[in-house]
Amino acid sequence: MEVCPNTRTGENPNGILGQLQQIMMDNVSVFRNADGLNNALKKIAELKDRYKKVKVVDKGNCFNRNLLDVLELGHMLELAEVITLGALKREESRGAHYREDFSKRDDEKFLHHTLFRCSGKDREPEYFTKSVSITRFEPKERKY
Amino acid sequence: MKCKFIIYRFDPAKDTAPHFDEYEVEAEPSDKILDCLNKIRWEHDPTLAYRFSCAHGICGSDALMINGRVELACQKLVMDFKTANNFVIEPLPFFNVVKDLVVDLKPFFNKHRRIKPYLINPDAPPDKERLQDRQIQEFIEPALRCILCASCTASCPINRVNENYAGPAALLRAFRYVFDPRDTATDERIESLNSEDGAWGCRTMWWCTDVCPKGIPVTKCIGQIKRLIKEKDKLKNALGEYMEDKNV
Ligand code: SF4
Repeated sequence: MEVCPNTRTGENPNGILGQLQQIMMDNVSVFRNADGLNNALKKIAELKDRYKKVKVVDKGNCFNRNLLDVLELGHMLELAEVITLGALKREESRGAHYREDFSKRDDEKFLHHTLFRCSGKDREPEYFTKSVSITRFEPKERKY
Repeated sequence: MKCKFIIYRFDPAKDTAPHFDEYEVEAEPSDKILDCLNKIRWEHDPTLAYRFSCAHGICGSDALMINGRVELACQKLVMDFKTANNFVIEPLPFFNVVKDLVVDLKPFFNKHRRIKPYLINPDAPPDKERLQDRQIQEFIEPALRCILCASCTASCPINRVNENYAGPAALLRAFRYVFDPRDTATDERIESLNSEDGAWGCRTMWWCTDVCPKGIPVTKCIGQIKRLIKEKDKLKNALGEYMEDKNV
């Protein structure tokens, strides 16, 4: 209960959840582009703001589904943000990540893992990369 | 269209006895019962407690009593019921209720653990894998489909009168290991299944087979264990007689 103090008097989690689903479906789905991704980032930030005041109705400590929903939603918002940020950074198309504005693969710039760390006090995602060790399967162009 | 849901509610922190709450939900005929429960939780009452995870009949966590029959809420659709869009949702029978539709499954998993649900074979594993005979694989395949949803054990009448009875789900898992030639503990397994708390507890009432959401012939599999126990007994007796004859 400590993570969700009584002072939160905002809305229920489900409204934010529904909107998050819609935003991700519309902008961060199969076909992506910078406009859509930036748009999604802006909207996710708004939802994160609303989330700060999200309300927990159930104060019980026995199988509290409501609290679970609120905690899960918090994680979903953070994940949605880094998924979108990662897609925006990766200005190329690779595997299941397809950018309408960058339809070619770019090994020069992007043959690495995209990672984020939310370790700071404000939990702002911080971007970093890691090199790829290529073993059995060489990266190849997708031709289908 | 409008659907009426009558749902079993019990919060140990507030209630001394369970009661039923009524909710009205807008649902499509093709909506799952689980979708409706989610709607109730989102739109009417966020405190409604129930288990679910994958929502596709794989995780086995949302077995509930729906209109008096044990079903997976994620596998049954609104249109599957001929009750004029009225639904009565209760927790799994037999188990203790933790809250609302959530039951305490510890006894179920303890029984499952008791039959040693893992491969016993002291030989060092080979380089690649322990190969299995195709026919035997086909024979035990139904048991591999079990998702441990506890529907069968909750429905089993024997399970209610003998709390030490392993119950259909555990026996089904035992069947899988008893007939797997890669497992070397067959004799010990058979020995421990040869009792009223094991395979002989089963009185072939078919309730487990009837409710199993994965369509597993649970009762038949338990029957195979019984058959094997009898065969081994016969073999032992024959051997005993032979030894006696020789001594005389
Ligand atoms: S045998 Fe069927 S009903 Fe029983 S636990 Fe397995 S899947 Fe569920």
